[in-house]
Amino acid sequence: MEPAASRLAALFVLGLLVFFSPIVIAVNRPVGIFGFPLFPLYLFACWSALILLAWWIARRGRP
Amino acid sequence: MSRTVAAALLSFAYVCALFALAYWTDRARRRGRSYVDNPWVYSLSLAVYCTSWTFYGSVGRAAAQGPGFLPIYVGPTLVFFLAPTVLRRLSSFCRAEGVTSLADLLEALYGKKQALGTLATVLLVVGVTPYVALQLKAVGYSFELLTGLSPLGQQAVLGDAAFWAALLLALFSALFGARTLVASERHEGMVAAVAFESAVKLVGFLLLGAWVTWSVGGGLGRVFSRALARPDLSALFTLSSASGTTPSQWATVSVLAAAAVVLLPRQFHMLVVENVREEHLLPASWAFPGYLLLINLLVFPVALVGLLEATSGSPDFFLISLPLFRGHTLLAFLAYLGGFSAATSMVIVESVALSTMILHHLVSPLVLRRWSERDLSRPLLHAKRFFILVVVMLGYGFKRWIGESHTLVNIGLLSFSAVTQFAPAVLLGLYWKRASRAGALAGLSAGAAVWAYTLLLPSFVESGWVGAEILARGPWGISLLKPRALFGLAGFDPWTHSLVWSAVFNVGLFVAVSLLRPGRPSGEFVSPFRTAWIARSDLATLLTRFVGAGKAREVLAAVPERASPQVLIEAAERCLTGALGTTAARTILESVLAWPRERAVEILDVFGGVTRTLAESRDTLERRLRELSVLHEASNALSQSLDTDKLLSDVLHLIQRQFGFEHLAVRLLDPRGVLGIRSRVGLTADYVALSGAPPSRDTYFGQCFLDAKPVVVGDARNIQETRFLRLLAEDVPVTAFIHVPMIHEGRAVGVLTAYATRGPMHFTDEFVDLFAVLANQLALAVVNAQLYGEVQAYSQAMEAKVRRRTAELEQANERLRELDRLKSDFLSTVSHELRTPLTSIRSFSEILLRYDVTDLEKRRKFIQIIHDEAERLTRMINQLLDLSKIEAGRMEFHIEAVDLGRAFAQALDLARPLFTGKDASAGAEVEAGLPPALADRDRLQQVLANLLSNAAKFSPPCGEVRLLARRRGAFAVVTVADEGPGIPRERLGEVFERYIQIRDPGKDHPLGTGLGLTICREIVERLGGQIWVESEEGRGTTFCFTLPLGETGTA
Repeated sequence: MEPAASRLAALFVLGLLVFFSPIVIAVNRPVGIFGFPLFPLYLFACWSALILLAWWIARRGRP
Repeated sequence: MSRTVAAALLSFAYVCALFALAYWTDRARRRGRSYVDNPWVYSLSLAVYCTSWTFYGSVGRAAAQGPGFLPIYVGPTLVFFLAPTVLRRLSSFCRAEGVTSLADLLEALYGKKQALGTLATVLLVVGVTPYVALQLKAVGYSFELLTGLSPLGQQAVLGDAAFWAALLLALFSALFGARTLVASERHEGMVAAVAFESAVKLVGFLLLGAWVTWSVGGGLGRVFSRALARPDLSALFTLSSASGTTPSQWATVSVLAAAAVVLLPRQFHMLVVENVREEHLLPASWAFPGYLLLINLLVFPVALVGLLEATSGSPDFFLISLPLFRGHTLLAFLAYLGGFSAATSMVIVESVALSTMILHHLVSPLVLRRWSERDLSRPLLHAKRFFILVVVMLGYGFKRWIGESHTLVNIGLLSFSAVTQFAPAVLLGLYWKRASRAGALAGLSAGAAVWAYTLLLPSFVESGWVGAEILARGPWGISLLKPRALFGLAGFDPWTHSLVWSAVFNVGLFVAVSLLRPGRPSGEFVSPFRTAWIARSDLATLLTRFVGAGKAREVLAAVPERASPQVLIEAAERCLTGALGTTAARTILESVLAWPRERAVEILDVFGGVTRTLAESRDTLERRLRELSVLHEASNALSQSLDTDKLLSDVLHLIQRQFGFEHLAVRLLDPRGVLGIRSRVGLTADYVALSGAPPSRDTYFGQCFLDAKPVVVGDARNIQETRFLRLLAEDVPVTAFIHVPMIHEGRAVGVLTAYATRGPMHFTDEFVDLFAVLANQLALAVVNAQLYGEVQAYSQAMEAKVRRRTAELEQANERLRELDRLKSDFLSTVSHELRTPLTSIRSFSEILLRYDVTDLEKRRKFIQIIHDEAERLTRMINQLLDLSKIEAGRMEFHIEAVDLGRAFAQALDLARPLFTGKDASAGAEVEAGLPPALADRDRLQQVLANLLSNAAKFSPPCGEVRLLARRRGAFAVVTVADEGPGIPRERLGEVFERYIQIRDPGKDHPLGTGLGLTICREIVERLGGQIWVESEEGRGTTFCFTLPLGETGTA
């Protein structure tokens, strides 16, 4: 497997942890942080971070 | 201008723009430029995933369920991180097999048979067509909202914007989504339009979202802080029963969406069929998730603003109602356009994908059952376009009849759940070697049944079509079978409940049945057709029948001219799979390639019959051309070499290449009369060694050779097996064969044979004729090569002979030259030797004449010298005469028995004066009982006299010379020994040569003529003996010679 492909596969596993592990329950509280609701902030931040990582991996893996 | 007209015009203009874009892209592609061949367009086209259900529905879902809309995009995001691994594997498999839809994929994975594809097609059509209805409903609803018509009132069909939209979209899809029958061909025009629409909806949503958030809501921070302040709204920010989204639902919807983003017909189509190159999957792995993130970024704020501002109407359409009610008509139009884009792109791709599936799996099996010779390419293409129309109109029909029902509203997730049932079959099929067809069928059926029972049925209940008691109490009152609490599993939302049970049954049955009935392991799906053979032109005819002449030509032209039939068949299969589906393609090809007896004639007709209908068509010409080119190539090969083995193997390989025979032989009659294999392809050495035999009628090839007529056996399976055939059959399963005689000048010189192993064959007359011509060409070439070999051998023999004769002549010449030289030497030596005594005689006679020599004593002395020299001269001349006589063979020998004792006595008497002058003594002795020797008496005396005079000359004063005769075998050995100074060892060899004189070291002038010993040697050799000398310096010399004895028997 190409290195980029396996790194992306690892990112998939990281995504599973971020979105579907008990961490979700931990941040699943109706509180605000910096004026933003915590849970949506967490989701969108993680989501953006994952995509940025994927972009970085794909860019490095480009032949 | 009223808003209705404006909205209608806008929609129409927008669709026209799509037509133009698609047309322009297709035209560019025909000119060799692809605007679609880049990862951005690919990623955008994948965003067909975001339908109006996203564009409008996300806001509504957020307003109702909080984060409930997010898993629909989080699942796909994660799946696309697997794009370079799992999706790439899927894509390359589909590409290799010519797969164009999910149903095709299942058939390709699990053996190309019908049922699985049909089941999949039915499930998908049922699950997805209402989804099309949902899009049309969104178009109609948003149009009515925008134009101020009552959104809830039922319009007449002709006054319904959704109807006109459906019609236009069906037209677009039929034109750009079904350009050819071959679905595996990409539709760049359609892709370009869809990508453009994806861009429009993203830009539209972001612009609208930004306007709503900042202009209406007063900025992100303000919107969220206001929402957090309200308990009912802050509940929307968590996963809880209050927000309507539980953690389990969060996970479930993620899984469903993850499956749907790959397996929904439109997604599968965009992902696999329209994928220009696999490398695009890597950039798409972040670009597509990025798109999803962007289009969802402002969903929460918009929903919150809508709720905070207490906007009237459905939250689904906040994007239109918010600007509309604030008088920003233009923005409302923009929102409408975004939603329209989202809906139309989905309808277009979905209808194309579904119609392909219907054609491949519901229609083509029926058509094939009545497969005739008719050209089906046009009707099939029209059928495909018709099904596009049917799918769109079916969607519209659903929209009209059940537009407000619960079923249709929930159809998004219902569809997702339906396609999720395919996930185990696809994933396990790709990665698990033991996955079997029976397992897939069982799992999929069970999953579909569970889906229908736990999701579809309850939604029917909620739409009021089925009595509600089945939900409350279960069928026939069996509470264990309650659709939403199957086997007592309660406490989950319906989606999770259904997913759990369908997964249990689907995966469970799949794995269990696969393990129990492995059947054909799915690893075998790649197994191609068993060795088969079909002519290119036959395939062309076949393909033309289904995909039209142009496409058929294109497909076959892409295969190299010399490619094996296997490659041709695979290319044809890919093309047919694209056009008619995997199973249909396999069925068609198998029916052509199988070898039923009654069809063999029609199909294996290499050079003849297929063109019954097209007597002098291009096919015939091509076939003729091919035939000629085979002959031409053969004669080329034959003329290139005079080496029999090379030219035979060249021609056999040509036949192998051109006609696909794997086993070929040339038998030649060798000089021993054995008809043996001289050159071969694919036959074992053992068979070659065993099959050589004199031609006889017991064998087919012997019969062919003796009769000089072809022997053709089209079906060798049932013939009475000959010895050799049985031998051969151990290694090669011969099913048909042809022997043709190789005839040269009316005489068979060998047999050319082709063995077929693929089944019975019909050898047409044309083929047999061609084969016979090839054989005769071979015969001519073989005979030529043989003659050439003979001529070459003969000329080599001649050359050797000439060389030998030349060498002999040269030798003779050399000898002559040597003799000539010897003669000159001889003459000069003789004249020199004669001059010496003459000089003495002349000098002394001059003295006597000129001076008055008074002293008598002196005068006497002078005269004595003259006398001696004259005598020497005489002797020399006599000896010369003798020698020349001997050499010329003129000397006559009178052979008689000579008593050696008497001969010795006589010789000694004659030589006595020589000895007495030197006071030397001489004695003779003959062995007692020695018989007389056979010799010429006078010549023997001459030899003895010569040797004795030599001995006397070299004997010292008072020395002794002994003459001896002994017997040695049949010869008498005569020796003459003296006691003189002897001869140096190195000169022993030359004493018998002419004019060689061994001088007495004490005297300075020669004592003899130098011819005496030469004459002796000649005489002894003439008498049949040998002569030699033994000597040691200072110990005397012994001359020996042998003479044959007269009475050899009596001794």
